[in-house]
Amino acid sequence: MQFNKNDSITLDDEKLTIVEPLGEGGQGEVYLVEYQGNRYALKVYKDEVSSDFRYNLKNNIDKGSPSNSFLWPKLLIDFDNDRIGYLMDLRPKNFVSFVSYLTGKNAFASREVMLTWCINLCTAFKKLHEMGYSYQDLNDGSFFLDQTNGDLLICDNDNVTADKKNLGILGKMRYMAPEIVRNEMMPDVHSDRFSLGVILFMALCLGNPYEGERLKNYDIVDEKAEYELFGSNPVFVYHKTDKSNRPIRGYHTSVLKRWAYIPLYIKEAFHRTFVDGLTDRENGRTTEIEWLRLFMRYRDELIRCPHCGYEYIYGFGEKTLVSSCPSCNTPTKEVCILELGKHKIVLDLGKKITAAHLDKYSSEYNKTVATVIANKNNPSLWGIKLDLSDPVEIKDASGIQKTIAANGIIPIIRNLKIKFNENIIGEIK
Amino acid sequence: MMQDRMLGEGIARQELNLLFVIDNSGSMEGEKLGAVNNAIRDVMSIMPEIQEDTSDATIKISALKFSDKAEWIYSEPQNVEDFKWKDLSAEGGTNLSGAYDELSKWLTKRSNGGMMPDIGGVAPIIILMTDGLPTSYDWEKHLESLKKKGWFKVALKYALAIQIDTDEAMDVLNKFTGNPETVLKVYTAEALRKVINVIAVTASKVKSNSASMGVGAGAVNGNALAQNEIASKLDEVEDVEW
Repeated sequence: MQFNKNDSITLDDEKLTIVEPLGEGGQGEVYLVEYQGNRYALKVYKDEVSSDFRYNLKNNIDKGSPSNSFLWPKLLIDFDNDRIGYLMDLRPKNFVSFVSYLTGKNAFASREVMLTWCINLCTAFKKLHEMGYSYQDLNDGSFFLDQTNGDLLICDNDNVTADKKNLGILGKMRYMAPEIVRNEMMPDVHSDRFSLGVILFMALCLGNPYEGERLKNYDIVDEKAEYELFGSNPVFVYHKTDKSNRPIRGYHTSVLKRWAYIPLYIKEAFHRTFVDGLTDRENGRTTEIEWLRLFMRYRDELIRCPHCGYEYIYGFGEKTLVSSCPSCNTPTKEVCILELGKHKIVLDLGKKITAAHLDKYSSEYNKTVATVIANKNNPSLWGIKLDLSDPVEIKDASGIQKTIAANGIIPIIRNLKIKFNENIIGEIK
Repeated sequence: MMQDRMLGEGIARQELNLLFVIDNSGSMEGEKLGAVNNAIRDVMSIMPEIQEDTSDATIKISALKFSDKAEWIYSEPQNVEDFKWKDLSAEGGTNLSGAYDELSKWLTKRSNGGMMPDIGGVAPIIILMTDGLPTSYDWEKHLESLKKKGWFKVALKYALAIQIDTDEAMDVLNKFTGNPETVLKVYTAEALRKVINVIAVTASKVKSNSASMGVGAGAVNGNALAQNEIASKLDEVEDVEW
């Protein structure tokens, strides 16, 4: 490590103190530091970086973070020995690593929370790409999560550059798009999209989309094996026609178990990215906005088994509705559905209506504007508790109209129409 | 509230095996074996952090001691958290042939009676430490059959010569690693402890968690990268020659 505990560095007459080393990676070292009375993380590069790299980092700092999901560099520091570093905020304690989720050490509080995290992830990359950036090195080590609410934190943002610009990073094997593995292209928005698909597949299925039976062809997983599996001849484990690389029974247990209960429209989106997207990198890969619509739909149709608590889909997009809990076989409970434009929201307890449901141009997929709650005195009576800025109009089957205050409660009754605004009229079915 | 799954259910990971091969013949008694015992405890106290940082591979630890005969400390490779070290004591000769035979058996697929994974195995790390010449004179013959093992060929191999540096002794170790750059002469107990630590920890870290690749970089999960990192860290350790 280049610095020791209690070392201090002077920056423009301000003192920066090394509190303690936090860790070491391939590229650099990270320290807990104190600067201007606040605590930050300081990343210091082990080697000299190119002037392009320094310029890019400085530029990113000046432009600012795409959203608060990014642990974005805040201040560039030039050290005397020609090394550079930067300050960033500390990772709050409520976040655990995506790695610890993958290995089974941590889990999301519920499937709904897991989907909320996925939505946060797609929103963050949508914003990053909209700012003209590409991330270029998505991998399991970049992401953190709050298990209780699905909040996301993206670290290692120092390779982010303007799209189509490259500063030397290719990415991590098993996450890289095949054209990058094959050295035919440099990372960009489209390879980001491929890697985003891999991360989403891992979040949902706990496995890699290209690791299946074909692993058996290799005694030892070496560079050659990885080049073939992820570069020259990748075969999606759930390829519709090429079944040569299915997950291995007894080894890819989580994937086998979890894929079975994923909605068809999500399966299609994975298939598109991991099959069509191999050859058509620009149009074959599911985009962030497409993922957002799909995950919203998935979250909307989640229902919780009253017997065992398992969360599963109602089945709007399946061949038939799901008639019983896949975990304990208890018949699916009677539930009302709110139809709101294209959205079908299963009004189960705790279900949230978001700003994006009411405005198709909104990107606030996780901003709650109403929640399904139970009456305190009579828990069998459910209502929709509003958290809006304007009142809404409701009309029941007999035509009786009523105004509900912006923070009021709408009773859940079949055939009730809800007018959120002039354009958005929903109906409970 | 029900969680999104049972805790403990996780992704299928590759398997990285780390093997210590330790001479506990009579001449190792005292400081030398004491340093080895301490070093392995040190390594094992750091291993959980390394395991925690990666979803690529599960790290499995094995240890083989050899004196008059060779014996595994555990009958199969252990997870990081399950590997508990029991201090070795020294006695007897240096039966390197026996150690090579045991290694050969170990470096075989599980379905063929060995201890290497049938699916998803990555090249193992083997660290041999000894302070004397083999008392089994046919060691070269046993090494020949060990060298036929695919797992041995691809392994990242290090050998530590503890307070010996005769040409004859170095020849034995050079033949084991097949690469003089990974044979280290260690002169003090403190250096031995540090060297074992650097090699075992760095190699496990680099090989269990593949790094992001840069333009022009070659192997990333490979032995070369681990070897480079180990070399740069060993620069800081005194009383070592390599």
